[in-house]
Amino acid sequence: MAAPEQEETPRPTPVPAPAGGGAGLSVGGDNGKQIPGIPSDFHFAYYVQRMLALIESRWYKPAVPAGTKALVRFTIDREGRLSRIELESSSGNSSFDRAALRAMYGANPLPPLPPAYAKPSLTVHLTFSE
Amino acid sequence: MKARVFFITAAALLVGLVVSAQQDDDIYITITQPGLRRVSVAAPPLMVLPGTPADVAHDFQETLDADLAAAAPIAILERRLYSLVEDDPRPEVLNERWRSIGAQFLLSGTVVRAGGQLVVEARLVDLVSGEFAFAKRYRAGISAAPTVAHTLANDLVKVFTGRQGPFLSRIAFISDRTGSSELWVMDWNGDNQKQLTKHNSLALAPTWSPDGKHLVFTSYLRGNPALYLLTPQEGYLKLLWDKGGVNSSASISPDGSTVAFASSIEGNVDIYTISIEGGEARRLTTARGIDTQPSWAPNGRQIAFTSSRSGSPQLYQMDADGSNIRRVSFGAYFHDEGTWAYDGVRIACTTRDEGSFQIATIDAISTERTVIPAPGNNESPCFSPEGSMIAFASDRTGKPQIYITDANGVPHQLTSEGKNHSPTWVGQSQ
Repeated sequence: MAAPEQEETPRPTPVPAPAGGGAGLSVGGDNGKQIPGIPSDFHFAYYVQRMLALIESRWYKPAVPAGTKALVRFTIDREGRLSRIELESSSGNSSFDRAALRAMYGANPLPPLPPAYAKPSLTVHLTFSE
Repeated sequence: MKARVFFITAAALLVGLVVSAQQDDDIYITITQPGLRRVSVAAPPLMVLPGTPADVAHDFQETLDADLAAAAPIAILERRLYSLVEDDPRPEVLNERWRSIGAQFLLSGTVVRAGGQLVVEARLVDLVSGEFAFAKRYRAGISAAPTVAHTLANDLVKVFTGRQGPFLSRIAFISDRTGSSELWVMDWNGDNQKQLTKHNSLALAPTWSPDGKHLVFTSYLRGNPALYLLTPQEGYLKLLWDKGGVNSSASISPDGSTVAFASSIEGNVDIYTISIEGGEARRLTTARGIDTQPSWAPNGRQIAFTSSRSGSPQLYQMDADGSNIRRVSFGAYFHDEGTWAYDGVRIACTTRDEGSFQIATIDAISTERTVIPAPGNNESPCFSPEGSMIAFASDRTGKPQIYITDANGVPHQLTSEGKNHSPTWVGQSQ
């Protein structure tokens, strides 16, 4: 059976935010008039939750002292593919650092970025902490 | 440079975000505890527009419902709750009503016949933000309603996992329903069962190439058990390896270039590799005892296999050149038929548990073992391409039949005619 022909429907027009609301992350570049605000203004909370869950499910933590933290930076493209996965700040424990990077490699690709997010990519700074 | 700070509370997580207005947004997050929760999706039937044949619309919706019910990242909200949601022209009010019955996302859309084609438009709304998490239009021949439904379900899974769902995948298996053991294939849900060989011989142990174009299997077609390569699309059959002895348990490398298999050509049963084009075989194992059932790890760098080198059958892992052998199964005297999940972490296998064969999964990193107890004997497991389901053979109702357990742990019997066993699962062909 041939695959059905598919097309992305036109990108949804962002609904003008009701008074007091905001367009969340879409404010970053082209829509700078939006004022950042309270948590409900962040329109892509579902994406962040899902991203964290997927990364966590691939994270095998070695035993390290409480308070150990590693900071990892990565960039997500529209299709969800990860690039520039880098250790931004070491935990001081190389096996903990490697486990954090491995979780990132294992979680690649993440879900596609939300269609209403207008930019080509999203850079995340993620702290892995014990 | 402005820095913006948001705090959102996500279930058990406290997530701190810092967004700075650069060319793309940077966000800062801390994660502290593992867990993969399902998202709650309300999925009322898509609206069928006038002129659409009722049976086509029914086929579409029924297939979509069955797929979504088995989708690992999605929990479909109970339909009986939907009637509690009173319609409202204001999206923010309507979204709030859907949220009040427990939905995080709402699937909506239309099904219509346009000319000779079926056109399906589907949208998934994040009920918190009111934004689309997904929107797509599908067009296909009017008879392809199930394929459109499978494609949509696959895409919805991808919204939450980053990977296509398993709903266009296929399972090849061995069936004797025609009187001899032949190679068959079916959809993931048991639909469209098709016979691939009519050799009136004995076919065994099929395995897909990762692109879904070829199957390698063992057949007694020319007398002794030899390896054959079948290209189902073209009906093309090629003898891959027949140098005497017993040759079985093929596994194709993730890049499709190399076949690992077990052979007794030099007396003892050992693991060999051969190019998918044929040619000379290379021996990988040399230990006393039987080494068999190789299975390539998804990274192509390791091969799991069954060995009796320590007495009883256990699973081992080696590098693809035969070096660096280590045992991975512990905790019972019997493990065999190891196969990997795409993640390169989980291995499914068969173990003995309280007198019967049962499926177990082993974490290749920690070697932690989980037995999946079920009635009867349960054997020959393999993961679905995206790792959320396991297919296996079970004699729980008498003769061996192919079953899958979906992501909820619910078993589905896929075959019922004759004896059916040795499933091998592959994703959508490229």
